[in-house]
Amino acid sequence: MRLSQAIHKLRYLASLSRIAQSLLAIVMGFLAGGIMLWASGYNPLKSYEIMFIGDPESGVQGAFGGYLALSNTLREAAFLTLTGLAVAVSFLAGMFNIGVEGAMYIGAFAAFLVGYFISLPLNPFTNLFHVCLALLGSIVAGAFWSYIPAVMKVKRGAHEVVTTIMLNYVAILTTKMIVLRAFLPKTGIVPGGILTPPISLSARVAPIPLPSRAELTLGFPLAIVVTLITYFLLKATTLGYEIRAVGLNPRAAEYGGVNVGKALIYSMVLSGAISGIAGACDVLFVEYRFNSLFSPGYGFDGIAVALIGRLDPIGTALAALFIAAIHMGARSLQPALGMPKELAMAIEGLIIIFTALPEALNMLISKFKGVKVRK
Amino acid sequence: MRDVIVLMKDIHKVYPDGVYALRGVDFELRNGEIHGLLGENGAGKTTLMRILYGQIKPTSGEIFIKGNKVRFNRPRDAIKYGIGMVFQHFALVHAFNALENIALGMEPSKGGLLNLKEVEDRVRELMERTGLKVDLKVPISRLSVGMRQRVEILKLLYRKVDVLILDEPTSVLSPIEVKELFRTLSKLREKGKTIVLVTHKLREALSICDRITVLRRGKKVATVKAREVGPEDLAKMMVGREVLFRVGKLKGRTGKEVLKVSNLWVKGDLGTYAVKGLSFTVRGGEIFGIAGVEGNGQSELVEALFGLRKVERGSITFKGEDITNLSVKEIRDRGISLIPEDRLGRGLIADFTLTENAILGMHYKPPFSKGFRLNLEESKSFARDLIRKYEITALSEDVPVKFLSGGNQQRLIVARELSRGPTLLIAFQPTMGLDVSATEFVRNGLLRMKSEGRAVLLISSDLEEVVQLSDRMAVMYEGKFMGLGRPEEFSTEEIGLMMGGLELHEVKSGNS
Repeated sequence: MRLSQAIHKLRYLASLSRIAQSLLAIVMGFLAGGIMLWASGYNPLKSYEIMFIGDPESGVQGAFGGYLALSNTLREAAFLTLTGLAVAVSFLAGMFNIGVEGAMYIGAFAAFLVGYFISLPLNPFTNLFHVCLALLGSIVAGAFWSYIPAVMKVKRGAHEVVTTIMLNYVAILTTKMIVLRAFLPKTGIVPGGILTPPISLSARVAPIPLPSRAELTLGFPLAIVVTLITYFLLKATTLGYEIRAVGLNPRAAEYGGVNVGKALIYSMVLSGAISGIAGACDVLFVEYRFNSLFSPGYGFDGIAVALIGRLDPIGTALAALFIAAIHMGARSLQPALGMPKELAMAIEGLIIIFTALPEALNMLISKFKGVKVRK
Repeated sequence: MRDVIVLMKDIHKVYPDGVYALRGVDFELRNGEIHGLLGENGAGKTTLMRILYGQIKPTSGEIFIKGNKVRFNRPRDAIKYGIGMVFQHFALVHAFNALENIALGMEPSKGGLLNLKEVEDRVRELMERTGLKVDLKVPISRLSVGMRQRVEILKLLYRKVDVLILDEPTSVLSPIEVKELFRTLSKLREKGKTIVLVTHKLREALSICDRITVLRRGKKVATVKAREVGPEDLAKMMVGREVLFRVGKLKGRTGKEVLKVSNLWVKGDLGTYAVKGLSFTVRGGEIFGIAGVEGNGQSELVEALFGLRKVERGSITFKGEDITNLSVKEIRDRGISLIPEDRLGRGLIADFTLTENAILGMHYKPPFSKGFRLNLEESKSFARDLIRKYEITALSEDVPVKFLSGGNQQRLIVARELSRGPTLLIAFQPTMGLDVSATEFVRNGLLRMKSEGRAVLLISSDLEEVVQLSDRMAVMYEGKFMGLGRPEEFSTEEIGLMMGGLELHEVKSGNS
């Protein structure tokens, strides 16, 4: 009995090393990036210092090297946290959801519609009300958008990878078309995108001022709140329990009385709702209008973020901060060292690939075991 | 005496999890015979053949092919020596056609271009000689099971195999397909091939085999000439002569009828009927046992009873209420518990903690759920209770169950299902793969349920278990009951015959 207990203890500790695994993966990523930097004739340590802190000579700020850089990093981290959470929630149920980008566009557009067509006299109360209403609109729209591929899978067995990718195109291009046809004549041609006119003042939230003329948009605190809510939902509610059960072992979940199809649908609806909030963040907190090119691919980066965060909400938020920092840091390499943009992007990609690898492999392995929905 | 082509000497096999599958088996195969390998589940038939096929290695023992000592590390080595095996579950690529499947792994190519013409010519010639006709150009997914089996056999013949091992080849076939298969096997024998037929079906073994080797619990009982024995002899050898003790059976007061199954028809995964018109009842305070070799419709029956599989025809009545085709949740909520066959496949979620697993199936009900919230404290204390009461060895209730031993995992399932206080407990292979103490624990649990006046339905391929524990029992074969009665009404031999596919009246009339 003693021995078997000791063995159990060892195996248990082995499971804790998942965190160690993640850290090791990050180190590997930096090593790989370092080799590439070194091979290209740059000093790896110096480069990493510039990425995260900055370069005093040229005055370039790294990701955490000053208020202005920090506010950029946090704005980016907010988007990535939300899209990462949206991906994690669906992946946990075993849904390979690639459609966060599309649901985010739909959410952003819904927030714009509520912000644009409703105009309230400006006071703190109406401001709060209008913003909440717009957020609600984005939640409902995003949730509905992700509900479509979920139902297609559960009722007809259509594979979610195909349907969500296609729906991304539908979402991004349809909103773009509407902007072009219906709003662009009013906006006029503006450099920097295909834009709608701005939303009402009552639907805008001004950023919190920081020193050195930097600003913190509301996205980051909101992302933290959504992270905590998601954490609670997954760990402490019946729904979260069922979503996780279905993702880990659909046959056992079914035996436990869980309606597998329903759990899959709920996970996608939840994912869509969070995607919608991500979209609303840009409209209500950053640009105050719908920009049909607003996302540099947050929804897709969310996949890497969720995997690095091991599909855990807290882990996902940390991973988002990490990726945002790498991304912002890579941008400061160019001005500080005169490094070609392409090389900086390659370094960024290399680090992310290495970091995401362990969980991506896990996902693929479990995917091969297959999820089947019983009709 | 014809020459010996395969000789296996004193083969032992202990699996890494400590299961002793073979305990010194000798096996001799003569050139040009059809040799039946007969035994119950867990007798070691498949293990022995997988060793011969090089798929697993024996713990000890020697193998001689045509007098030469060999050591196989992988099936490819065995095929080189002319030994091939067809498994119950075929290994075919569904999107490929028969020809592509046959060529797979040894595709002839010319400068990197696939040249299937050559293969086709040879396969067509093979089909001509053996009578194994298959449409070579149709994807496997569109072929019937019988046809797929032919493709598997052709695949081996194409690899110039002389010894053909077929593992329960008739279990997936219709009666007509079985006839065709046997005709083919006879033809192959005429062509000088040697065939091993792994089966538990007595009649089939007797109808086609030249000699039959019977295994029981990892040991060889005997090798006999098929012409010189009858089904009774084989049944006796297969099941054993050991007196079946009836330990701990209490004369319970049987109560009211709890479960009534009438004319139940359920389809298997292949779309054919796996349960064919079963009718039986289970009363409170009794254990009703269903014996039979695995794969005779037991899984489908259990899944249908628990709402996991659709009932095509017939009805299931629980305490007077029709529960046919209700959802799992509705069936659970009415007071039915299930100990499933597949511990980590169905019964538990390996990555969930003990706590999370302890509430599976109750997680949506108070006290574990309050509104939409999960009551974690309550769940934890419940899990701690189970660990204490059911003596589960675990570090804490927060450990994922994949870190528990098999016996402790099963204890957890049993603990969870019993603690619900079900009116009916369905126990499916509840002691499979367990050590003695865990087995004892589970069996006592079932007996306790019974003594509390609850109904227990025990489905097991462990015959001794069924006979020992049941008040009434039935023997299931190909989706039907071959006989139903009190265990003491049957001799071991009769049960063996029923497990091999003879009906009770045939058995009784054959004996008198």
